[in-house]
Amino acid sequence: MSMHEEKGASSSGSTIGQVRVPFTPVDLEALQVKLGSGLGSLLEASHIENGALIAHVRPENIRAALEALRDTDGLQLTVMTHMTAVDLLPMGPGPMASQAIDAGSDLYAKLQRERIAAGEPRFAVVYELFSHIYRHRVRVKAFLQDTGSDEVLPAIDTVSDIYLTANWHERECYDLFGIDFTGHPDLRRILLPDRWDGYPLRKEYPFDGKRAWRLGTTLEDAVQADSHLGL
Amino acid sequence: MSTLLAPNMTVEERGAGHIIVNMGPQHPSTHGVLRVVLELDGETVVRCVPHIGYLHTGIEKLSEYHNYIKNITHYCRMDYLSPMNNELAYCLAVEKLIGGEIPARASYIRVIMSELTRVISHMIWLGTHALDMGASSVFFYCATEREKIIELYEMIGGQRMMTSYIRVGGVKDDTPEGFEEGLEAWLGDFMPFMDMIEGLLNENPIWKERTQGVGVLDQDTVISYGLMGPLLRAAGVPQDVRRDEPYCRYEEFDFEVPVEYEGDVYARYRVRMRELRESHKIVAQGLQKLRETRGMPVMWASDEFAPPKRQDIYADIENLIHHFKYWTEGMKPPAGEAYASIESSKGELGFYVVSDGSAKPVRVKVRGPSFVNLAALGAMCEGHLIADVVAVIGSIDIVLGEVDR
Repeated sequence: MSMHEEKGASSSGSTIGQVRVPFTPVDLEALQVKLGSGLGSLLEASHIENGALIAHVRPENIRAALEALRDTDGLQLTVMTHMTAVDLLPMGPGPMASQAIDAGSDLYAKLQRERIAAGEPRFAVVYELFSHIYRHRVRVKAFLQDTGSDEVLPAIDTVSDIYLTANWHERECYDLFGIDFTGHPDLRRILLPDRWDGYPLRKEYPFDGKRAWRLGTTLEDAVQADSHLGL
Repeated sequence: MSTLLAPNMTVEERGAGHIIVNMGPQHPSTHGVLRVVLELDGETVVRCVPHIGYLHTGIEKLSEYHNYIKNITHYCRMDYLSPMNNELAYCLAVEKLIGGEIPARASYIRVIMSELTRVISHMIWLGTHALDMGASSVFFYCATEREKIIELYEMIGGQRMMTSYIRVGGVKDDTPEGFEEGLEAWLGDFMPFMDMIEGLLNENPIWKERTQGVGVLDQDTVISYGLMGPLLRAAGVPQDVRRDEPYCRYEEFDFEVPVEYEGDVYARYRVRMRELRESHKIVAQGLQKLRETRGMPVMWASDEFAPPKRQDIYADIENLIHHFKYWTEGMKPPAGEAYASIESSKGELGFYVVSDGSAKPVRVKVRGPSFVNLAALGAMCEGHLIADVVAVIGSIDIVLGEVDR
């Protein structure tokens, strides 16, 4: 054991060093102030909710904001624990509130139109950041508008080069929500088959699926389903 | 064969003399249905691309259609090797939304169960990891040891694996008769078992040959990939949610966070083995606290967010109505969002829950440690031999049910 410890003590050549701050509960209000000075004009708004500090950022500033959060002294949010999206489209009314609104229906088109006209965002893209040095967390949110069309996906810049974690998470968001991450090196579906139709975690996607999925029975089908292997 | 697998890829793209090998999704050493496509130069891995999704069950979509109580049953099926960890993380997130204090006894039971869960998860990890490397006897010892805890699971939750025992506001029931004795018996057996296993492997030349210097990731890469748990601690970062952001009264327990610095497969093995000894220490302290809190409540006192007691249902109509409303309509946490994470056996397991004030969540995002940790597989394997891929996959400790959700 002593061998390991000695080795560890001498291997402090990492840029993200061994600085360790003893545990005290994170002072969120002080962190909020630091966040404000660290992000400056990039920060739209921030608030504390259920023990978490949430920062709102405009989608076009997301790269600059996350880079600042990662590199600013005192914040150093070195880890992205995860990122995800939330579909803000409201569910239908009534006791069966969680029924999806049919994508082809007039109600859905009307809702979409109204929300775009009112400037209401459709998706919240949520980044959960963590500092392994200071043990604090910040949740960054960027809101995306609906494009009003199924062909054009709402887009936001990739952060997969700032945090390597984001690579798979952005693929997951693209796969399940249909959000385009501009500049992502390998943006393709991750959980669902490549030829899947639609984005299942959108609220208008029906719970029991659009239609029965068939992978195909011939060799050609199988080859096509796997056309690039990701290599 | 390779043309069939990669029809669009020219020889130039592949590199002269390189071959493509498809591993999985039915390969036993991929621990489930992971598929890895390898580009090989001789026996050396040039590129390694994991493909996931073969076990995708849409749990996050499902969560939006079921109420907060029913959802617990989905999550224990996600990482099926450590079911109670999943339940716990989800319940903590919902409790954060609601706000309120969990009774001490419930927290102690949760701590004991999550440490036992860590042990059963690590038992499967060690058994299969050693099996992959050709040490088949370890698996049998681990399976036997796991069985003892599974029996405690059955005793406390009525099921061997999918217990749904941890509930929002506490736990389902108090510990049954004989549980403390069972725990004590396990505590007595476990350390000799650990000594035996470590005696088999720690200085075993074949084990060290296969694991030392394999799958090394430096600290910066590990942090950028967001790896957590044993993988992060094996790279020399002392990070542990239990100690740094204590939940369930972990701050009252005395334990260490084991750290190793090599960042290879052997260091991950060492971290997990030392962690198991710490778990034993925590369970022993938990048992003491369990004895001190006998007869105290295990569910928070809440009219709205806790089921009525069985005897009260028969006593008056109000409770009967509440009983039916609670189980059919479900509870309605206030609108808002919350993220809670725990130190699961595989790393940080978190739930991000968004509520609109109705009985069903708007969004539940699972931060599965397996999913995040698996993303670094390519970086760990490149440059190593194909036989090392198996060692690296084993050392990440993935459960595909959680990766694919």
